Amino acid sequence: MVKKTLIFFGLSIAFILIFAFFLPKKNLLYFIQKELYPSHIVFDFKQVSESGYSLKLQESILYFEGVDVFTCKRSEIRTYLLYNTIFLKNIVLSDLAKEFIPLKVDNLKIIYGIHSPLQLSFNGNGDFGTVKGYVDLVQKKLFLILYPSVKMKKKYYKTLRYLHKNKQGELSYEYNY
Amino acid sequence: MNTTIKTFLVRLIFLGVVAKILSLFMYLVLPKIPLKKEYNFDITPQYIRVHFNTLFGKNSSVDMNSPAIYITQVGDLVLKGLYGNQKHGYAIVANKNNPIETTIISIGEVYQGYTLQAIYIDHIVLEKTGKKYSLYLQKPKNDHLSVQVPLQSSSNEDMIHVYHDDISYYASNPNAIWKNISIRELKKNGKIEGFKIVWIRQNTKFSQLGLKKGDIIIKANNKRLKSYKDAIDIYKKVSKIKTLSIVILRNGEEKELVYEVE
Repeated sequence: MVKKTLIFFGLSIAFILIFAFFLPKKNLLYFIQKELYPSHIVFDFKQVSESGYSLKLQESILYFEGVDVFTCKRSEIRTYLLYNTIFLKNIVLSDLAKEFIPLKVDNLKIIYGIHSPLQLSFNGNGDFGTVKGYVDLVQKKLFLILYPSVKMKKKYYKTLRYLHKNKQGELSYEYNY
Repeated sequence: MNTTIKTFLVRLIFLGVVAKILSLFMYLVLPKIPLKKEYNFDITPQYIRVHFNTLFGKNSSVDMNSPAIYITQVGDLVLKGLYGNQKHGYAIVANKNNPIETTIISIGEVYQGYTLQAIYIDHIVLEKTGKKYSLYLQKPKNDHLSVQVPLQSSSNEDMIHVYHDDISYYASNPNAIWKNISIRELKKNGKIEGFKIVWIRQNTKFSQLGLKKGDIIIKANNKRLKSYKDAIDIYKKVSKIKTLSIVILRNGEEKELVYEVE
């Protein structure tokens, strides 16, 4: 019985991994692009390349309602179906945000996996400091904890007023969408 | 080879084939090309003010004594409104085929080859290739179109003055804007038709802009505001521009507000 169960799980995982490998990732990305378009979200990129489990994008831009939200020099999407990550490198936010936060974000990692199917977690760092948080897909809530940099504390202290200081002294922010 | 391993491998190969067939099916169903970002080329002429009399660093002299031809239409141009005096002021002109689309020109400015030279109580003087034309005001038509012809004025009272210091202050303190005014997009069939003034605090810089609660801003500098991008483009440029013209819908009628940034 144990042997059969092990074989079943082994084959299931193997199937998922093989399927994730053969998955037409480029076409899936194009599909997501089309699905986002009616919500006035446009994800544009200059170059895309597919290899194994990953999809690499060069110079991507995210537009919302025609306004550029951010540009990203390099990004990589890795999918194993049960565990998926998006790495974003060298992000520059829209200069509309320049009065609120520093525009340069060095790294951002977004994780979605079976270990937490109702949440999308993220962490990143940049001129603003370090951030970690999650998006609750059921409650439609964004929660983040910010560890501000010296620059953020000095130049963008007004933005920090919108954050809540918790018992541990961390600055947190919650937004329901 | 052990039978169990053999069976496992056969099943694995079978699952691999199934996975490949499934992915091929997905490939056939999913889109093959990326979504092309639609670049909406705006064919609306840009609202540009060129003061030709100061462009080359010297003031051009206007000879008011030379004879002028008195007509109510010059080329396709008709006069819809004016304010100012002989030396300073603005005229509102339109194409006779499309009288709703108006353009404001200042003294010394060239429009469709005609230079605006002077403004009088009921006409303006235009000059082209040495010839002068007096263009008289059109009588407003009482037709079904609810287009409000801008008020005629002999002074600069209609021009609202805005100061760069205020713009810089509000650009660096956006929260101060939303403490004084609330603007919301107005959508029809999912498309933005304009931006509505939901609320405005009285006796503030914003109430002095001539805006009222319920006004719908539909145009800025001759450009229709059909998206957030259009509005943000104006916001981005506002610190650099010298004149801003907005068209609002008030009680179903269009009204143009002109701001001079000092």
